[in-house]
Amino acid sequence: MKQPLYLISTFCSSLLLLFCFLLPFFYSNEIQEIIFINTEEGERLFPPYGPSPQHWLGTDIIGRDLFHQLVIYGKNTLIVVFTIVVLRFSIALCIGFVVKNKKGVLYWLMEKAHHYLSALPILFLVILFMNLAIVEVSPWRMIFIIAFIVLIEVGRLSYIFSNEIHSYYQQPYYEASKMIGSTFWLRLRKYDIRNIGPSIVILFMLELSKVMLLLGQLGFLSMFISQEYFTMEAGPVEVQNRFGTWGSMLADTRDHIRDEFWIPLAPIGAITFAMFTFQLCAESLKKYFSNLKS
Amino acid sequence: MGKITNQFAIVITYLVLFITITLLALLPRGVVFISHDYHVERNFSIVWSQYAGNIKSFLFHLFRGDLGLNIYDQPVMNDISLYFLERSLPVIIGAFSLSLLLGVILGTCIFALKGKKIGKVSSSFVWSLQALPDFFFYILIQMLLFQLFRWGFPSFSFYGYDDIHNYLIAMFIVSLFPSAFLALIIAPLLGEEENKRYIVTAKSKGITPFIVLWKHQWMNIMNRMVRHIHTVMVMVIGNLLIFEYMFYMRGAAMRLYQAMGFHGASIRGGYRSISSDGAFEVPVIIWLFACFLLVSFFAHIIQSILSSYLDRRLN
Repeated sequence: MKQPLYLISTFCSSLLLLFCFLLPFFYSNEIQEIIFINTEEGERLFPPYGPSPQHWLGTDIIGRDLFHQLVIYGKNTLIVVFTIVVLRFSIALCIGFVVKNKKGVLYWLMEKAHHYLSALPILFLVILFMNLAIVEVSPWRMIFIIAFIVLIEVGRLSYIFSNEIHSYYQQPYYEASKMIGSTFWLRLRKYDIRNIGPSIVILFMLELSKVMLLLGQLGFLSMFISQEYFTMEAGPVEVQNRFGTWGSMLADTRDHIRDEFWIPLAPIGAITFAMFTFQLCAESLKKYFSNLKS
Repeated sequence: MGKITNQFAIVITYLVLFITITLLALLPRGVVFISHDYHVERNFSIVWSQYAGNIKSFLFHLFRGDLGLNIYDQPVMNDISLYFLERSLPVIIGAFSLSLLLGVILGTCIFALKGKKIGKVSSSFVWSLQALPDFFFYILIQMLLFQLFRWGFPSFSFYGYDDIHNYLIAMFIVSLFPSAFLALIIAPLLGEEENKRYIVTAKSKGITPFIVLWKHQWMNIMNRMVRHIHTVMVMVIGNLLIFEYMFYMRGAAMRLYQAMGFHGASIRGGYRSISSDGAFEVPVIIWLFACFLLVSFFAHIIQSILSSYLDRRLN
């Protein structure tokens, strides 16, 4: 562990995990709203409040502490990101193995699906999907959206996996092992995991970072994964976020960039730190595996 | 024959995507909300006859050469010409060209300066440009500019598409992320090529490093580099939406976002209300998506032409 890159990656990932999974035990799940505070001069101050010893990162427009929100929502954010990536990888790996010979209708379909879905930015397609009436009001909105985000990139990943698997299946050592009658499990352990394991782990980390970026962008554009409707005193029906993530904290914060910059900056900082950590881990793993090879 | 089939497959892929988007956008809406004291009950069921009616009417208007009307009862063509052709298309083309140029320059610099301290710094900077979220840089740029203005730096308007400098800023900022992506692809490719024997031979014959880099290494990695042209274009379009949203630019990407049920969302980013149902502008969504698809399609065609030309030349 003399390499600074390994050290920084370990430090950052431990910090991220501690922040998201350990720190919430020390904070209440209810975030208090401050309506106003009285100053010593007898003035009433209304939120948002800037960073201070009471509120380390300041508060949002309705007086909720931003650090407290980051702590509470960190777990949700990481769970959503990991769920999407794990599901995506499980499906893509299965398809990759099935079409490893790069022949047949299934391979053709997968390749075309990859080209089809990479023609436009995913963000555009996800926004369109999230705003369909059927998804907007469905009780299973969250499941629909997560499934859509998972499936939209499966084609690309399975294309990469099928190419990787295909390239080492052609190697003489693999064919020799098959000819002498090795079992599937032995080949999986000795060849498959050793050959594509490193790329899977590195890609996994990069994918975490990509999904985190997508969640942040969706949050900025006020797109909620799970939402509820409410009305006050027979007023207009309004939409409110029901599943707090770092991304959803960014909703409607664009107007505060100029004067209350801490409101968007706190969640952006958290998302940036998480993405930086994932990318650093990917770089460390790349370095580690290339050192192993040489 | 293979190439023609390939080109045909690309056209079909884009056409199928366009049809999918059209069919999704034409899905009937009309969610019924029944509000109680604080709770809102919502009912929605797809009426298939209404869906068929939507598709028929869309096709009917399409065959008459009518693209439809927006929420203000104005032809969609006006939206396309103002938001897309006048505002976003120049930015897309400029940012795309700048991304290629900057990507090539940055990639070559990272390769040429490797081993030196400045090389390490620049490669870390380029790496962080593509590793960190785009909105992080956009907000940093805005905060920096606000701070400079407060310190007395001559202020200028950087919101909106009003002046020529807004277009230039937009092109530069949108191209940051894709050019970093391209640079990080080019630098290792040049490094791979450096260890090949013909390079060692060329160097041993006393050819200057610049000629070796330009005439040999570059020419030989060009075909692998152009395979990423389409990805660069998709990145430019994707970043354009976040850029237009954060810099208050009323461009095509922002217009498309508003058309997808965010009409209530003001340019200042106000809270969305559920009246979005009536503000879901189907014709605007379909045709602005078509415009972006066309841009992406052209990038794909350029990529496939360049790639086949360079492959032929190298082989």
